[in-house]
Amino acid sequence: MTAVNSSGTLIAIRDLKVDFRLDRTTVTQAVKGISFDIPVNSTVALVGESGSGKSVTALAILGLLPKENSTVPPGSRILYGGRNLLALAPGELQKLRGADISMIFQEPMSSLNPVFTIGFQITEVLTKHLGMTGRQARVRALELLREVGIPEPEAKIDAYPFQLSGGQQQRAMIAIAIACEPKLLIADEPTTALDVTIQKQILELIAALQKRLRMSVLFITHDLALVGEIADYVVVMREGEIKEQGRVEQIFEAPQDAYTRALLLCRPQLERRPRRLPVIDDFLKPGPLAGSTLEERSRGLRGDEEIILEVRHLGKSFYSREGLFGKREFKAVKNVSFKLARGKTLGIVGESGSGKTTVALTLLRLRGESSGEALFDGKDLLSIPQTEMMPYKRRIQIVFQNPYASLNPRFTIGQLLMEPLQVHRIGSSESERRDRVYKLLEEVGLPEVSFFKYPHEFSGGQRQRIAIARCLTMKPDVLICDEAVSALDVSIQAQVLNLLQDLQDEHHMSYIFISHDLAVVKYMADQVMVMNEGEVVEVANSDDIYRNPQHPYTKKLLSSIPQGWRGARAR
Amino acid sequence: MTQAAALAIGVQRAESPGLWTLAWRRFCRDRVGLVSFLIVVFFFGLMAASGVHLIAADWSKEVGVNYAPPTFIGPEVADGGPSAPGSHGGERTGEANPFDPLAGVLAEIRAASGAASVAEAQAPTLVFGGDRWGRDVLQKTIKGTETSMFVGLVAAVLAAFLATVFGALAGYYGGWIDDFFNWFYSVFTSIPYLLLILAIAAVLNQKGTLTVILILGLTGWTGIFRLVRAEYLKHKVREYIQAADAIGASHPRRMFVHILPNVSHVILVQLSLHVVLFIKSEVVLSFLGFGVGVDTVSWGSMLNEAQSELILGYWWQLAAATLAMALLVTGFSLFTDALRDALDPKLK
Amino acid sequence: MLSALALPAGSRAADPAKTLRVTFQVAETGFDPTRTSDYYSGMVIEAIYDRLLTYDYLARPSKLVPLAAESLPQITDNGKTYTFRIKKGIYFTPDPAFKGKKRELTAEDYAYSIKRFFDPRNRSPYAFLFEGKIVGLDDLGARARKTGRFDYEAKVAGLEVPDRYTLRIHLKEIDYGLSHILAFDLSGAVAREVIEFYGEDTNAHPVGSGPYRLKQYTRSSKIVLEANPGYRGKIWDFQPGDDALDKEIAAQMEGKRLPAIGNVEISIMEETQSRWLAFEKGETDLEYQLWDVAPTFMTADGKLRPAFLKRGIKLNRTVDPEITYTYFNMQEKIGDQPNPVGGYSLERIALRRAIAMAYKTGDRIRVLRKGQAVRAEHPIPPGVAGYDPNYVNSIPYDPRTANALLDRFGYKKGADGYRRMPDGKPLVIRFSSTERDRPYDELMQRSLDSIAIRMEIHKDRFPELLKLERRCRIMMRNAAWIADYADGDNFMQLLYGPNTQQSNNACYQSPEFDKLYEKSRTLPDGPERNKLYWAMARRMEADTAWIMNDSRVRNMLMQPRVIGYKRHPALHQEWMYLDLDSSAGK
Repeated sequence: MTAVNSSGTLIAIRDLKVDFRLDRTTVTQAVKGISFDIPVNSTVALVGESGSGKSVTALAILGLLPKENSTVPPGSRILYGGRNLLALAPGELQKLRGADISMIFQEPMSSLNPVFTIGFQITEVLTKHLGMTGRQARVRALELLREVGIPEPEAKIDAYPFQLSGGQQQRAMIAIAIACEPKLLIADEPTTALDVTIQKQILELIAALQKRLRMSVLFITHDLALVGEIADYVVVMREGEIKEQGRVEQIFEAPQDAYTRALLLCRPQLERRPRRLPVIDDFLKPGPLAGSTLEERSRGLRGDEEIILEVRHLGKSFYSREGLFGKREFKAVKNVSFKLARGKTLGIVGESGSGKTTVALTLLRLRGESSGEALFDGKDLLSIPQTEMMPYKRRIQIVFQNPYASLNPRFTIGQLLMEPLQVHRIGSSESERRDRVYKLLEEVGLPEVSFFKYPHEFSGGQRQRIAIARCLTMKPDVLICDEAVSALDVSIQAQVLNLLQDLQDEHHMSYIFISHDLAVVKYMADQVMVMNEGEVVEVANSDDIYRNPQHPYTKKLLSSIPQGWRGARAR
Repeated sequence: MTQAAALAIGVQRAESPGLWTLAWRRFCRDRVGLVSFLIVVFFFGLMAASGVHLIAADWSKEVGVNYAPPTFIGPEVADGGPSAPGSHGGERTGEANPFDPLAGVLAEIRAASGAASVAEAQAPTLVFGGDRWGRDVLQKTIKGTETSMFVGLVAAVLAAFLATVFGALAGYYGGWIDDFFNWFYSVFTSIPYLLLILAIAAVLNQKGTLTVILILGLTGWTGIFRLVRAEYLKHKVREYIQAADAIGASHPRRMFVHILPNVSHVILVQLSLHVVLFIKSEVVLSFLGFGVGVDTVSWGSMLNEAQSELILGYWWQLAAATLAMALLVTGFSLFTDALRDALDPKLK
Repeated sequence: MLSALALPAGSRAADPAKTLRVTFQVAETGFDPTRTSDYYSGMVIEAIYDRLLTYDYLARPSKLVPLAAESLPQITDNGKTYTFRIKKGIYFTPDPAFKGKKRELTAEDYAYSIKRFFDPRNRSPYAFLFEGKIVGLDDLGARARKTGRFDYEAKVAGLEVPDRYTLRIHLKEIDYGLSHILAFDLSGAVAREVIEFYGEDTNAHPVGSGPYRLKQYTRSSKIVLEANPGYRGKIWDFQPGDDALDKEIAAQMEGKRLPAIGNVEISIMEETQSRWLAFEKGETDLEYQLWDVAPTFMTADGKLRPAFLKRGIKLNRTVDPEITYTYFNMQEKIGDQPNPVGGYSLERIALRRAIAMAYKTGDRIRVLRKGQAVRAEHPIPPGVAGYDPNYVNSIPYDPRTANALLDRFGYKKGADGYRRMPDGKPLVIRFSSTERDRPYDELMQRSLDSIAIRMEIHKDRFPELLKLERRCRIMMRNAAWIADYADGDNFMQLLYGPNTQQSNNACYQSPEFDKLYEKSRTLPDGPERNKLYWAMARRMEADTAWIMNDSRVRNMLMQPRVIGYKRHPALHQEWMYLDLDSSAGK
C-alpha cells in the first residue's frame, strides 16, 4: 500500500471488511479487507467492475450500508478527524452526512425526491445543517444553482425533478451535495447514465468545484479512461480486494498488476484497432498476449461492395394528444438515408434522443407506420403488409441493450432458442432443432447444460450471448446491435465484441451497430453515421470520420471522448 | 429492489435455482404458512374422499332421532314437542273406498306381504348431533365440505379463466377492445356483489350446484381481470416482448406463451383468494335459499336449517357448520398470504 | 242519577284509553274490498265496513245473524230471490268525499258495492263470489270488459232497489251460499262518492260504517284503527253454549257496549322471533302466528308452560278452517310435454296412489308443524258446514304396499336405482315450491325416495307459481285453502271441473264428481248434502287427485287483560267483541 504524504489524509480506511448475509445459511464477503487513504484536496478514483465492492466501500464510509443483512466485523476502521466512523453513534454520523461528507449517485432521477422541488431539497440541507432561515437558504440555493451551471436558476429553483433534463438533474444533485461545502464528496458513477457531451460537462464541473472548495472527491467508476481525466490517485478493486493503488501517472504508465493492465487494454482505443480485443483472461494467464490482439484490422468501404440494405428518406413521427382534440407530432426520425454493404458494419452514433434506436426499430417494423423506403433484396421492407412479414423477419434481427429485460424470465434458455426455430419452422424435427441449439450455444461460448437453465442464472454478458444466439438461430442477413454492449462491464464488453466479430467473419452477416460510445463504434464499424435530433449529420468511413470530422456536431462529439490521463495532462 | 438486495445479488456468484423452487423454499420457512397449507390439504383430502364416496356416503340416512343431541351432551329427555288437540297419533290408517278401482290389487298385495316391516332403530345421540330428520351432522358437515369446496374451486377456476382471457385481450390490444372490456367490467362492478348474485340467482330458474358455480364464476371475474389487465399492460412494453415480435411470434403466442407465464403467479394468488371468497358466497347463497338444491347439502344449507333450529335450542348443526367454515376460510386465507409472500416477484 | 245520563244510541261507548295491539306477519295490500284478496287486509276490511249479515259470536256451528240488515233475508221464488231490508240510521264515517254532509247507508250502496266486482278497472280476484249468479250482472260485466268502462247507471235486473232501504237480489239459480257470501268481509258496503273521490288510491282511504275507522296508516309498517264515534253500537247479548269458555265469556261481557276497545294498533312484523319477543315482553296483546316457536311456550300435551301460566297469559286452541293438500296435475299433458302423474288410466292412478301412500304426513305434522296441526282427512275442515268429524281418509300410510303397487304396475327400477315409467321412459316428478319451503321440499324428497322415485325441484316466486298454476302448468305442489265463508261448498268447488284454471289447481276433471257437486249445490246444509260430500271425497281419493295433509292449529296467546275471546271459524278477527280489563289476570 502506497502511503500518501503531501498535505495530509482526510480519511484513512484500514482493513475494511463487509459481509452480506443472503439467506439463513449463506454469507458473502463483499469487501475482504482493504486499506487506502483519501488525501485532503485531491481526487481519488475507485475503479472496478460490477461486483468489485467499490459502491459498498463508499456506502460504508457514510454508514449507509443496509442494517438488515450487512455486517462490518470489528477491526475495520474508517478514520476521519481522529474518529472511527464505523463506531460512531447514529446521531453523530447524521451530523456529518451532508455537512462534512456528502454523496451523489448514479441515477439522479431516483435520487431526487420527485414530489419536492429542487429548491426545497437544497434548502432542506441548508436549514438542517447550517441552521439557516428559509430566506437565507433560498438565496444561497440560487447561488448554488448558478454555480453548478443550471440556466435560469430563478425559474428552475421551483421546478420539480421531472421537469429537468438528466444533466440538469445531476447538476441539481451536485448542488445539494456541495451546499454545505463538505470536506469529502463521494460520487458513485455520476456520469454513467449521461450522454457523452453532458458527461464531459459534469466532469469539468466536479473538477472545478473540487478546486474551488478545496474538497476531496472520491470518484467511483468502472471506466478507466474517464478516471485518467480527473483523478490524482487511483485505487483498482476486484472482487472485494485492492489490486493496485497509486498516483494516476503510475497506474496508467506502469501498471503493476495484471488486472490493472487488463482493464487498461480491454477497452477499444481510438488509436488502434486490434484484430481481437484482449480480455481479462489474456492478461491473467501467464505468457505473452495472443497475436490476434496485436494485429491490426482495417475497416472501411471502398464503394464497390454489394449493397444488401438501402434506406431512403426514412421518417418516423410519434403523435401525442394535445388538449381535447389536437395532436402533436414529434418527428423522431427525419429523412434518414444510408446503405449497408454485405458483410460489413454500419455504426450509428448519436446522443440520447437522436433517433438511432427508432431507426432500428422502424426497420424491423416494430414501431408501426413510417415514411420512406427500405430496400432489401428487391422489396421495400416498410410497405410489406404485416401478414407477409414472416419470411423477412428472419433475415433482419436485433440484439437489445438491456440483457436483463430482453429474455423472457420464465423461459429456459432452451425454450428461448428453440422458439424462433419453431415459429419459422426451421429444421424438420424437434431433435434436429435441439442439435442446432446446442451447436449455437457452443458457438457463442456457453456450456450445453445452459439449455435447461433460466436467464436469471446468468450474468449480463452471458445473457447477451444468449440474445445473440437467439438471433443466430434464424441465420439473419442483417443483425442490428442496439447498444448491445453498453450495459456491460469493460472486460465482458470486450468478450462480446470479439464474439460479434467472429460471427461476422464466419457468417458474413451485416451489422448495424448502434452506440453512444464512440470508441466502441470506431472499433466495430466500417462506416459511421452520426445522427443528431433525428437527422443524419455525417456519414463516412470510420477512420476518416475520427481523423477528419467535417460537421461541427461531429467535432463536438469527438472532443467529448475522455482521453485518459494524458488528455488531462495535456490540458 | 432495495439497494441491499441489489448489492447482495451483485456479490453472489453461486448458482440459484428456478423461480418455483425458490418460492417453495421460502414458503417452507414460514411456519404459519405451512400449518395453514396442511389445513388446506386436509380439507382437500376430505373433499376428495367424500367425492369418491369413501366417507359420508350415507349422509342422508336418518340414523338418529329427530334433533338427536351430540353424544357429549346426552340424549334428549322425552319432551317431543306439544301435540295438537284431537290429533290422531301416528300415521294414516286408511279405510275402505267403494269407488276405488285399485281395491282388488291392493287387497292382493296386502295379503301377500307379511307383517309390517320393522323400522330401523334410531340412535338417541350422534357424534355431533343430528338434524331435523335425524341425519348425522358430522357426515353432513363432511359432505358439505365437498360441496362448498367443489363449488368454490370450480367457480374460482372459471372466474380466473374468464378474467385471464379478458384481461389478456384488454391489456394486450388496448384501444377499443380495452374500452369494451372496461365498460363490461364497469357494469359488473357498479352493482354491489351480493345483490348481483342474488339478482341473477332469482332470474335463473334452474337451481342446483351447477347454477351456483355459473353464477359465482360469471360474476366474480372482475377483480382478477383488473390485475391481469394491469400486468399485461406492464409486460406488453417490455423488451422481451419486442424481441418476441422481432422473431416473428404471433399475437396469441406473445399473449399466452410469453406473457402469461410471467403473470401466472399473480393469477395463482388471486385464484386462491377467490376460492375463499366463493366458498363464502356459496354459503350466503344457500343460506338465503338460492343455492344448492334439496338433495345436496352444503354449509349454507346447514346454516339455513340452523335458523329454525336455534329458536328451539338445537345448536349443534350451526356449531358444526360454523367451525368447519371458520377453520377452512382462516386456513386458506393464511395459506394465500404465505403463497403471496413466497412468490414475491421482486426477489426473482 | 247515572241512568239519566245514559248515553244515547250512536254516541261513543268505546274507551279511547284502551288499545289492542296485534301484528300481521305479512304486509297488507290495502283496504278496498274489490282490490285485495289476502287474509290480513281482509281483517281490517272486516272491521271498517258493514256487511249485510254476520255470524253469531258464540254459536257453533256458525249461525248467520243480521248485521246491517234488519233481519235475515226473505228468501222466495224457490230460493232464487233474496230480499234485504237495511237498518235505518247507519252512517258512514265523515270524509272530505262527502263534502261536509252526513251520509246514511242505503240499499243502493250494496248494489253499487256488488257491481264493483265486475268493473274491469278493479280486477277483483274475488269476482268469482258473484260471477254467474246474479241476473243481468254478468252481461253488464262482459260489456264493461269490452269497452273498458263499467256503466254503473245501467239497470241490473238482478239487483233491484225498490226503495231506499230495500235490496232485492235475483239469482239465476238456487244458491245456498249467497248468505254466506254476503257475510264475507269483502261484501261490505262502500260509498260511491268515496270511490270516485279517491280514484286509484282507494286502498289507502277506506270509508265504512263499521265499528272501526282508519286513523293512521303507514304502508307495510303500521295500521291504527280507532272506534267509529258515530257507530250505532251493539250490545253484547250472545247466548252461551254449554261449555265453560262460553259461560266465562258471557259472564265477563254480557251487556257491554261494543266495540269496547277504543283503538286497534296493527304492526307488520315479518320475523317470527320479533313477534314472539314482542308478545313475550307485553308489547302486543294477541298473537297466534307463532308456529315455529310453539315448543317455547307449550308443553308436549298442548298446555301452556307453567312460567306463562303464572303470568296469567291465556291460550286458546282451535283448528283453523283450512286444509293443506298436495295436488297432482291430472291432465295428460303439461304444456306439450307428457305428464307422468296425470291421466285416469289404472297405472297412473296407481302411481298417484303409491305417492300418496308414501307421503309422510306424520313427520310433517310432528317435525315441520311441530305438532301444531291435525291431519286433514276430508276436504272440508272443522268449523265449516259439512265437516264430518268421523270421516277417515281411505288412503293409508304404507310405503311397503306403495312399492309393491309400483312393482305390480311395471314401474321398474333403472340402473340408477330410480323407477321408470312402464314404457321405459324416465320418470321425474317436478315439484314446485317457493324459496322458503325447503323443509317441505325435503319431506317430499324423503317420501319419494322411500318409493325410489326421482324428484326435481322447481323454484319460483309465489305470484309466478300461481300464474303457472292457473294455466295447469304445475305438476305437483303443496297448496292450502282457508275458508272464505264457513260452508263446505267453498272447499268442494276446488275440485269442480269447470273451475279448472281458477281455483281447481289440480285441473281435476271427473264427470262423476262434477255431477255430485252440482247436485250438492241444490241442497242446504244437512245430512243429505253431507252424504253427497262423503261420496265426492271418496271419488277424489279413488282418482287420487290430492294427498290430504293437515289443518293448522291456531294457538291464540293473549295477555291477561284480554277478555271475551272465542275464535270464530268464519270471522277473520274478533276485535270488536273483545275488551281489555287491566284488573284481570295475576
